[in-house]
Amino acid sequence: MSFLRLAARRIALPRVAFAVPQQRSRIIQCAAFSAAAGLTKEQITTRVIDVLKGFEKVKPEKLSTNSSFMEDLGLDSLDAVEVVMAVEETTYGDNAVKEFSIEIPDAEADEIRTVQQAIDYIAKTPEAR
Amino acid sequence: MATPPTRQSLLHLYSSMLRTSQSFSSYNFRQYFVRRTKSTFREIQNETDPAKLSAFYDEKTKELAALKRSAIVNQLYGGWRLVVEDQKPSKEKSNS
Repeated sequence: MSFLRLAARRIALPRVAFAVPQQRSRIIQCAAFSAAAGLTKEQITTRVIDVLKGFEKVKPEKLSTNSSFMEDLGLDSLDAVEVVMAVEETTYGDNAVKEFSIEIPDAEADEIRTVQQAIDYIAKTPEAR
Repeated sequence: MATPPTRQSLLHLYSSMLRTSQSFSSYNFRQYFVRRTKSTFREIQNETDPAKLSAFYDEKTKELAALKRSAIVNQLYGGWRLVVEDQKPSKEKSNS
């Protein structure tokens, strides 16, 4: 009986293996990398600056690490929320797995008003990878 | 009905709606809900009428609940990624 079941499983397996193998191996590789390496301060800075460059309202020439969202970059409160969300996404890492990244609570997101504050927040968050 | 929602609570609602919209696993739904959330909140941005604001807040709170439920269902039935998306695997599929 158990032999029969084993035989049936043998038949079922190849179909699954046909769809998955490439992806499976890639995930394991990426997980190992993300567990090993953290983000350096420079990496965080470049990522955050890149995110802000992606916003239409932000003028690149005004963009620096100590510019403020509201005063210097001309963003309103809704934009600030969007910036914080976009910054969170950049911490997903190379494998884009959400579990390894940070989610900034609203109370602390309100405190982030400048580019430098965003960088510092990510730098001091241990899960940011 | 008289007290309008505070700026804080509206921003909080905005960020939770955006976050929920981002969690859809199908590209089309995800993009649509993010776009829709952004545009509806932009429309109400300069509104000062308390009655309208609280009506908006109530409506969006209900919508957020529905959005959360649909996001969960969508995650259960998420398919392969489209060619326009990043091809990095977002989560491990448990279909083995």
